[in-house]
Amino acid sequence: MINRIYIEKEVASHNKTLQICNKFSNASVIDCDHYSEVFNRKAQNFRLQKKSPGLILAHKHKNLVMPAPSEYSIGGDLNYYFSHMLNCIYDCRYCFLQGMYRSANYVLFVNYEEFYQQIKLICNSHADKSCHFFSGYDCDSLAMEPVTGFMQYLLPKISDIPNLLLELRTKSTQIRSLLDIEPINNCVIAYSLLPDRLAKALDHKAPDISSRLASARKLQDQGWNIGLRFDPLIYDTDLEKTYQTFFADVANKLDIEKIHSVSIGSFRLPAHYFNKLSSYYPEDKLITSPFEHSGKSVSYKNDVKKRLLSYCYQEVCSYYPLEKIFPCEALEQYI
Amino acid sequence: MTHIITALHAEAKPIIRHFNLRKLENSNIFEAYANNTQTITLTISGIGKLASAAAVIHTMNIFQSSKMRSWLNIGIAGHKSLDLGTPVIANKIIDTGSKQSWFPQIVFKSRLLNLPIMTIDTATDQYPDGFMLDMESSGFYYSACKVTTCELVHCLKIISDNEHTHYQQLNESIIQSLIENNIEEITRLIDSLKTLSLEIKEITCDENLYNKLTSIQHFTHSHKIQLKKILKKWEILFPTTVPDMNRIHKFKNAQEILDYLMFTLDKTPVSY
Repeated sequence: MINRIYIEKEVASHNKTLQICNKFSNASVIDCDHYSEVFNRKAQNFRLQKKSPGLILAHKHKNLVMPAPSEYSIGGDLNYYFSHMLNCIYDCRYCFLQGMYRSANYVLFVNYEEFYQQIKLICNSHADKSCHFFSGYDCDSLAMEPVTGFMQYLLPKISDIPNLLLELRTKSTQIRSLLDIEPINNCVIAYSLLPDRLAKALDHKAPDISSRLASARKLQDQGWNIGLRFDPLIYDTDLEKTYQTFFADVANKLDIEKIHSVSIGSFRLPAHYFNKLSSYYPEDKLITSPFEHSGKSVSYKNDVKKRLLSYCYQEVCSYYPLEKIFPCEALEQYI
Repeated sequence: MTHIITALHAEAKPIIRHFNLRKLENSNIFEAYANNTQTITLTISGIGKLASAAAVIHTMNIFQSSKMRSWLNIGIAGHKSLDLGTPVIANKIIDTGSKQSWFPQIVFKSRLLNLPIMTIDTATDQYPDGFMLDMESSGFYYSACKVTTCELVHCLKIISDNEHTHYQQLNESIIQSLIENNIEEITRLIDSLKTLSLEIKEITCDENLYNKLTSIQHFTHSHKIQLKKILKKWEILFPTTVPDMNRIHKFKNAQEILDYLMFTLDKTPVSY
């Protein structure tokens, strides 16, 4: 799986580094001074590197936890995100990572303890406010868990912080480390979902929808909070039929009474990310969709967006109470 | 297409022979060779990183190289303990003069050993632990990465000297044999890079249709770029249908043609 591991000299003797090197004993080990020497330098091609990404083990010095973008909320007073890892093992065609980074190598920051300290510090300094933390912005929160063990480290530590809620955004079926522990009440496993046909066409290397739902159900049955993330919604020929069947299927397979939160948003990307995506995959059907540039971003043309969002929002509202539904973009003009 | 840069004639000769390369008559700064279809070229740089860097730029100019082409520096290198004749691909390049480092990305399947290499300015028989030694890689790599993406730029070294057999014992015939004996590995590497380079997509479209449309009205440079993108989408959404040419002939300018094509595409939902 991993054939080369780059190690920052600073973390060469870190326990996690040694563990991971043991796991991939056949990989070439290459030292570097700083991960940015390997990651995201000029003249790198995300699409080519995606064929065989290397793993970079590094120390994150600053900006471990950052304020989240305003649309990234499921009702918390304060919203933050953090990324113990950069890049994802999946290759979803709409993903912003392929526009954001030139490199598809995975960067894993092994100083887990500092992420935890930072999270705790934020919660302590805002003790009267609910602090929501989003993981899975720059990587899938669980896909590499058997290698990283990050959540196995973090979850037991944050379980007793009263004003904290942690969202693990994922498409993964790697849930063993969660099933092995008691469910944690202030943690939401948030599954990104798309209609099966669209997922097959766009969510390359990711588990299919029925496997994702099966994992979500297992976790739910064990008492974990499950969130549903219908973001990005993708426009398709038989939009109403496709999404009607899809939402019904999701509701069928999960205990909808117990769903923690649902978020919804249509495909959108910063324009320069979209341009990169188009240059990597000019032959991909997604690129042929009716998009328009609006300001610095690209999204579906207004009429298409309206049709997509209004239909899907109504459908979602028919299954879940309004207070659990969180739009990822301003919906007023579309619904 | 793969561009090969070697420092020495002796390194080049077995490659020239194997791929039937012919010398280019107009190449007077560096000796350059190519096969009939110019899918493999070889330039002899002379010794040293500056010469190698210059040879890359020269090669780019004479062969009008594009981003989709791969670059290989093939040559001999020293290593403390590896057996003579071992082929090794560089996974890190350190320039001992500037202390700069580069990390070639080996994203194709390869059974070749990969190790870091130090590019030095003068030959030595003091071999550092764990590193190969050569005199070109850093200059070659720096320069080639200006021309294409780093995943297509690699240094393949054949171990020619070690702690027991110093570089002073090398001669032309030994160097030729070292390369000759690894010609299969060289061929395999060229094939892997060729396959990889095909992943880089250029926006291409139906040239006939493009020419037809651009002959109907005056298209500015920006219009032409838009047209290529639109025609690419057209190919994906309507692989067997051409636009309505009767209608297109009635439009007064290029923008109207583009608007019509875009409108037709936009009202067609994508089916996955």
